[in-house]
Amino acid sequence: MTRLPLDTSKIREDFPFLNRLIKNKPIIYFDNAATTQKPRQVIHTISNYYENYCANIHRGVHTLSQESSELYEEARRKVARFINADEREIIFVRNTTEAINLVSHSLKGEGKILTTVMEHHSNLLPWGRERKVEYVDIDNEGRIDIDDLRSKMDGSTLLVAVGHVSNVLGLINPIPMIIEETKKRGALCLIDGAQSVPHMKLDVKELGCDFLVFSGHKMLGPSGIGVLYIKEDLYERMEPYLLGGSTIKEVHINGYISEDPPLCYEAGTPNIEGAIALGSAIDYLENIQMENVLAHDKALMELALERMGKIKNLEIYGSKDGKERLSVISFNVNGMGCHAVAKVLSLRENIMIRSGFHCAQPLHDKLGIGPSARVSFYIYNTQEEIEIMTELLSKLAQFI
Amino acid sequence: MDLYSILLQRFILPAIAHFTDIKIWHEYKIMMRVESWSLDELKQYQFIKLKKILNHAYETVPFYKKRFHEIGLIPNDIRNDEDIITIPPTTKEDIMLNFPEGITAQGMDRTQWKYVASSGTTRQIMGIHDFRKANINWAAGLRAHKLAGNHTIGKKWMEIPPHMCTNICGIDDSGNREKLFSKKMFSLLLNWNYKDLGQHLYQYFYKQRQNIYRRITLPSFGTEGTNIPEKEVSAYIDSIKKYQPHTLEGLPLYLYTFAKYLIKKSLPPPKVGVIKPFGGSMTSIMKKTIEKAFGCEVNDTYGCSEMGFIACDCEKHEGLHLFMDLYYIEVCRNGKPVAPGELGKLYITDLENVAMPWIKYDVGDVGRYFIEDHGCGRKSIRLQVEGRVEDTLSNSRGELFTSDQIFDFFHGFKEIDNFQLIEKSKGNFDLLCVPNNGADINKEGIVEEFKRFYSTDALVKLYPVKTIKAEDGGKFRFVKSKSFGKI
Repeated sequence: MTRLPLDTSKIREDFPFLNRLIKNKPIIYFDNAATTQKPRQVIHTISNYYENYCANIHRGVHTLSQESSELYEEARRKVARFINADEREIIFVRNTTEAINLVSHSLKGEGKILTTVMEHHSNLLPWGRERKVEYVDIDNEGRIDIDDLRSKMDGSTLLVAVGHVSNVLGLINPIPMIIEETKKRGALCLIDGAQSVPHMKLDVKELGCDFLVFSGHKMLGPSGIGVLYIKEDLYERMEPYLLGGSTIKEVHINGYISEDPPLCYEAGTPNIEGAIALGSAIDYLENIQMENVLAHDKALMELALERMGKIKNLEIYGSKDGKERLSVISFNVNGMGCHAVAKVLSLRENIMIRSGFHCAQPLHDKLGIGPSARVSFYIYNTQEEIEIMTELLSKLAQFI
Repeated sequence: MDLYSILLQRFILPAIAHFTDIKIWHEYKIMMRVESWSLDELKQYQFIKLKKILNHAYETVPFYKKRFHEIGLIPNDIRNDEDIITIPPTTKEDIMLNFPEGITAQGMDRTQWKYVASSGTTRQIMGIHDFRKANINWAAGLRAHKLAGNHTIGKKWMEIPPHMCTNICGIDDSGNREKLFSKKMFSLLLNWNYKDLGQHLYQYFYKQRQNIYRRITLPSFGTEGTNIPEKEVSAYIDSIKKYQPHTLEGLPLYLYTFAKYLIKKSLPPPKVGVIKPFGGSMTSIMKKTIEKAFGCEVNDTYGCSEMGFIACDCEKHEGLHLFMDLYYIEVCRNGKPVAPGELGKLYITDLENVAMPWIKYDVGDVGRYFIEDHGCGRKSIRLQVEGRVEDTLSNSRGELFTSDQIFDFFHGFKEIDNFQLIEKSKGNFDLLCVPNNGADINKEGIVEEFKRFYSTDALVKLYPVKTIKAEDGGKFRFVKSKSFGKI
């Protein structure tokens, strides 16, 4: 086995969940595309906040409120630096889904939305509610059909919304090319980074996207905190869709003066501890370096792809070329339902994987398959864990 | 009988049996003959098969080999029912920790084996059927439907299963969406690959069984729980009226809800031949209400996905007749067999599954058995299944209360439409009650009545609610117990 870029034994010491035994066996957690586990540094940040700093932000002059506000804004700065944005361009939301809904509601202007058939439901459903939506096709292995994208893009296209990495196939979409095409037609581009931001260094300035959305819980942070990046000059084309506390400078009975962005998009008391803990998760990732995270996840994916590819009766979906993929692999064992596969893996070896449509049913329909099993890796996973999983999968697939 | 049923039964099924390995019709006929045997004949036959499967399990299955060695026994030592008691039950955990290679027969041809799993996305238990077991299972289904409700293949059939996640999670999760006239079929034809072509056709028609059966499936109540809006209940009734199925199958709670609605609105019953509960236990109050509202018989069957059809009703409705040629059942409490009529856990041995023998499988249900001939003409042992072990309460005096008994107790109150009793710790309950038509609930009165029924030392807090939520798989648990370990 090749040496992994990350020292997993050291990293694993930071993750308390790995100490848990179920039926005297450790847990092998391969459901990272749904949510990742949390290092003790993130857990400590949350408990430290509750123990020492808990107060509402932006509205108090007392010490705790000011300290809490500072921690919250510091988290915003960390997120901004993480993707090379300005802090004014970062809006804290609950998750990727909320971020896309916010853009869908808040973006002014007429025009159609272009998205693809491979998207997560949260990058499909919000667009169709109020606007015309067209869907870019994919090939048999899930790659976006760029010619179809070009043919569907015209002067009436307001925005192209596309996932950076498919949460089913793990395919890395050609985002720079898509953004270039989008810019040529004067349209906007939203990148769903839920499956890419946790795994690779992203620079929004270099990419040139208009919006980037991602979730904290998929990158070591807590649930209920997500990020919407908006290129600052686009605030002129947006208007807040939730009003209330924090979104205003002045309120009179006959009107109000809106707060400046990003605060005007964060109505009510936000998930303060979630944002601060997301900042801590980013610290953790930056400490081990995103280049290493990417290399580690790719190495695991390539090993799994290679081992699983050898198993007869096991069908992997999407391109088999490791260069095109990130750390998600969806598959089915012939003759055995995906839920059954997931259950057996869980009960026999405590291997936690996902089964179903992974919130991407149109993609499954397009590929002509039913629901699938999915494994996804992250920094604490090891080659040995992949060997254990593939050995059991091999037994299941070749048994009948 | 309509033309389709006649064609199917007289020509198509016999032809399939003649030209292929699919011997469902043949097995069905044998099974129907067995139904006329005396109890002694059945017991004799059952014991011969039991010995055979025990020997087979011992010889070929690593898990059972080890288990027999652990208890210092070999199957040849087993001479009567009492000897079988010494074999420990096989738990679901035993199955899943050894699945598949440790719990299946070694040295057999596995090419026609098939994975089976308990229904719902939770897939609590996995199993394997060989081709013959699959055939027998299919035939046992025909037998159960014929004997309990006179349903024969081809008659109209409607089902309302509990699965909540049919669309998003994908209940049919086989991943196989192959068409009949596909490239694969033509390639098999060109190469005259007779065996794989047969498999292709089998797989296709297996997928088409819904159409072959003339069965339509209505969606479950979903996440709304027990009390869905009346307009939705009305829509279900309209669908039943329109289709006029001979057999209407559904989760007992669904059928009970329809019945209560029909009675409340004084509506004429939809035309249904027979009603069958599945996916849960049907209590006597449910049964009486459904019979009254629909004006037809309610016939019950018993089985589980991992094994198949195990028992079915007769016209006397005094317990379900066990398919003794296919299963051996023990009813035990604290590991010891109970007397006829007494409550205990069910341990089931599948006499037909040679691919994956299930020996004294702890299926997780409680019930009673009855031996005496009650005059229906079938002499087999009868079973009365009364719910899940984990839903059975035990009071401070060690008396058992099944979820069926508790269901009927609470549904005896006019002001309660639905309920859920959750035992948080031993003898300490939360009681959730859905008021009937917005009725005021007499909290103190109900709690006192329950304490008199169950145990005066019980602590009970009653909370009125609007609905009782279903479990993850869509089924309902009206009693959640912490004391089931006592059984």
